[in-house]
Amino acid sequence: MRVSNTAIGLGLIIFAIAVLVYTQTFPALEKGYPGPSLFPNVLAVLFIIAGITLVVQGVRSGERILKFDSSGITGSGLINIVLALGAIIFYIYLSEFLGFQITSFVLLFGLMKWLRVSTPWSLVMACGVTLAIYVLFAKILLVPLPWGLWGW
Amino acid sequence: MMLEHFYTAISLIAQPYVFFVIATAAVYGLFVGAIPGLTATMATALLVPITFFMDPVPALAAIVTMTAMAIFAGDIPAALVRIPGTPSSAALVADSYALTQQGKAGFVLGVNVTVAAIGGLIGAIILILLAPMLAEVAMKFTCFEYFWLACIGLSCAVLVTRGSLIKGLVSLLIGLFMTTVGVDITLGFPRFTFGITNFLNGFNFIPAMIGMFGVSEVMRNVSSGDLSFNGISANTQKMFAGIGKVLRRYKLNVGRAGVVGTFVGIVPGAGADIAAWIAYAVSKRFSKEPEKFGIGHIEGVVDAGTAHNAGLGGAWVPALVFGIPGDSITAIVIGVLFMKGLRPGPMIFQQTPEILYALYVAFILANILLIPFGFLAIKAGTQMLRVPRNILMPAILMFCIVGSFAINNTTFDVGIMLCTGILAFFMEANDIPVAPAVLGLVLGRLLEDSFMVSMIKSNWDLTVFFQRPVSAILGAVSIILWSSPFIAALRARWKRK
Amino acid sequence: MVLKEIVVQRKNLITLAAATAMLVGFGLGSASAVDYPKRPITMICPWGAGGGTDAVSRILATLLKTQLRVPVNVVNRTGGSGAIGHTAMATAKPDGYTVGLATVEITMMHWMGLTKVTYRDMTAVCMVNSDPAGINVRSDAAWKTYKDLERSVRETPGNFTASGTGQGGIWHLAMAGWLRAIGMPPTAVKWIPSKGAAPALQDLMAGGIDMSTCSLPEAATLIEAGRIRPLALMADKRDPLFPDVSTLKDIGVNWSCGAWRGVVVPNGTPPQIVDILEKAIKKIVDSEDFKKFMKNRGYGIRWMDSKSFAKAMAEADETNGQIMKTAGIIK
Repeated sequence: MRVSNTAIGLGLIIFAIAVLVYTQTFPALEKGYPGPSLFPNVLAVLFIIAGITLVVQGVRSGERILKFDSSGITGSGLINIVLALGAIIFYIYLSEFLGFQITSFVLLFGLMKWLRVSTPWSLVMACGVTLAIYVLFAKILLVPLPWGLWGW
Repeated sequence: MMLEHFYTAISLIAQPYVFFVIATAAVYGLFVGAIPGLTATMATALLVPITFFMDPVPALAAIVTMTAMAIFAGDIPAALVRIPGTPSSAALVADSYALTQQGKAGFVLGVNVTVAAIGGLIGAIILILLAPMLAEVAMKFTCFEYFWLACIGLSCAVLVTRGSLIKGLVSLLIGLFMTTVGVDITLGFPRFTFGITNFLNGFNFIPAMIGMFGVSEVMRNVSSGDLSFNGISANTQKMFAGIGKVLRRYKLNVGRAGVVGTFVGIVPGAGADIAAWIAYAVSKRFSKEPEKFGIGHIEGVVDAGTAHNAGLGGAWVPALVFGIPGDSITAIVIGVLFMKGLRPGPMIFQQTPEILYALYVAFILANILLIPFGFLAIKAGTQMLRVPRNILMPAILMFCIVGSFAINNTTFDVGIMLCTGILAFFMEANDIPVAPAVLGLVLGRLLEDSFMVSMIKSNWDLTVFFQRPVSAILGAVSIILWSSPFIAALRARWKRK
Repeated sequence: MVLKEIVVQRKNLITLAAATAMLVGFGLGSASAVDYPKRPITMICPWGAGGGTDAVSRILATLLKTQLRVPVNVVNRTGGSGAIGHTAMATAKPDGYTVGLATVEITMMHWMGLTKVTYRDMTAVCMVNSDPAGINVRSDAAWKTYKDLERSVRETPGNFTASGTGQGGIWHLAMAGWLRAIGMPPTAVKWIPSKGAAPALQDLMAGGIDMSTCSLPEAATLIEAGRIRPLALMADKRDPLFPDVSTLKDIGVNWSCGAWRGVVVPNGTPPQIVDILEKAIKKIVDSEDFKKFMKNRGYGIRWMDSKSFAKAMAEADETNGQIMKTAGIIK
């Protein structure tokens, strides 16, 4: 997931310009002094300075601008990452409907199975971790975990 | 007189019921601290309904013990899985995790628990001896002084950065920029929220921290194809060897960090987290081997680990003397005191000295108990390293999700965790350090709010930052800190000529 | 009791265990057949742990648990000057298992443009507490009485600073309304935004501001320590805990303003549930435990039932909007 310094620098500059344009819509304090926009604008200017420095460094070192280097991440590793992030998204959207226990069990079992844990172990660990979290958070610490189909 | 109060206090504490409460609170604190997303603040709030049915002495002893345990316990997941259990452990996470990967998990955590106990004791002693006097100084802090305090804190960014300084700056700016999301102080204007209510709160710090450390670490771990083997050797034999040697070698660091931590803790609004960062930076600044920091050097861990527990005692100073909380934990404590009919303020020293001294005894006892309880927690915790990574990683991910959810009970924060996790993964892959961004997140609001309020007060007269004596001194310190790298560079150039 | 149990069993064909749990609801004296509550209730507190709203919601939750016999969990949903918590209260499932402790800000923040949620989006259950604003100065200040302060403000308008909450917060509004009542422009005292009453009081002690319009309970420790002098109370009646502090009405200024807190549920919650909650909380408010707690913290108890609380919210919404407009807090 490595990109060139030049690309990072350019990205920062574009982001900073977008911030500078957007903060124009912020209201000012009385007598025209800057209010909510001051701090973001100062940061944006600093982003631009840092961005230009990175671009200059990148060009001087003669690196390719469109460099993309997976830095040792293999195809299956990439799928693992996508699945881990997918699990978080799954929780965000479905935990409210399914409830905590089902969501947690499904996610844990699925991920462990995918990472080549044997089926019985996946079952045991998924159940164990789900129960441990449930008892600790919902019962002892009174966190209202999502309440869905099943009750919790 | 003082001794007499101490005797009464000891007799109040030395009761089976109080001991039972303290032991329970200790275990509770260790759990809460070790689980990312559950903070000492939240645990204290949960204790309140229980303390409602207790006498003041066990109630206060429970809170004191619980917080001391929780702040230390935050270091356990920081060392084992690179996720700080509480924000206060963020400063030392890089070093302690690197040491774990060298197979020294027991050693680094053993050092952690010992210095945490010593730091806590230093904080307690300063609290006992100097509380009223120090509170007066802390009460002189207004927005001008807070501005300089934030500047001094930010100057630590240079010290916690490894590698390219410009990339460290980028990281710091990212952290600072995240704090601009949400309601602005000057006009109450919703910035960068794009009409989404949840964004009014900005990037909630704890989910962001769990994302930056926890999720990015899970991503890194699963990204390497084969996970079935276990990469770290969990050497449990002689796992605590070498702690005494470290303590002897860095005894000055411990003393210094204890004092720094307590003083930062005393200032209302700056808690154990900022104390740890400043102590870490001070440690690196005065270290003989600053180049080793960040890649597994015990020295920074000693300082930050001492300071965060020392800061706890400090926070009680303004709370007891003026009823103004030094941090969010003591804010709740003030409520508990009121509930018990005790009014914090100068009068508490005359009206109910026995309770006050019982509190002091509880502080000392809690920090002594930290050692046996802490070692047991470490023994239990390090067993985790024996778990194969393909089981451990999904479980950690689940704990991260629930931890982010628990802080505000909203899946929106889980989304924050996801985004900051991806961001941090990308940053680290491109040699942009994460630590400055976390520092920026901690200090961004303090910096902006104190600056803007100062400007409103003074009608945009920048000289106000030097008009008050304390402010002028802090200003001079920050200017020296910020200009020292440039002066050093100039001097080096001049010497070469 | 036994009869009711049998009726319930026949009606709903549920197990004996569940029926016993339900008895609690009937024990409150509600004749309705609604099956509530049978699982933990969440109480949303729109402000952070350690503050006054947090304290009140935690005592309410603790006592409500003994009344309804199910756990009542306090959840702090903070941020956006209260907007996030109040939005969560309004948008929760209207099944009675999410209640909220709404604060006066519900009538203010939609004027600030922070949220579209207003008091109309939630159903009032009851008001439990209200604390009037005060006018607090440092004890070494030259002003000995309220009249001294008013004279100074009239002589040199724009020379003094005040704080207590953020921009557009309740204590800002209290100050703006007071200035309007004495016929001064809203700029006569400059408002310095702060994160809340505690930092503002610290700033007052440090000499950063000249006065704070926060409530007296918030300043109680510093008043007792002799560091801060309350000059007036923005209420119709004196506070029994601070009997020496005169009200603005005593002095002849027609202005009162305070922060209140009350329990609400999302719109669409069955009226029987609102009724059960109202009755349970009424019992709590009348209990010795609650009275003792509120007295120790210095908070004022103010009971209003569902109807009067709803009316009070509507009135407050209108007045607060007007003041914010005349004070220039909102355009």
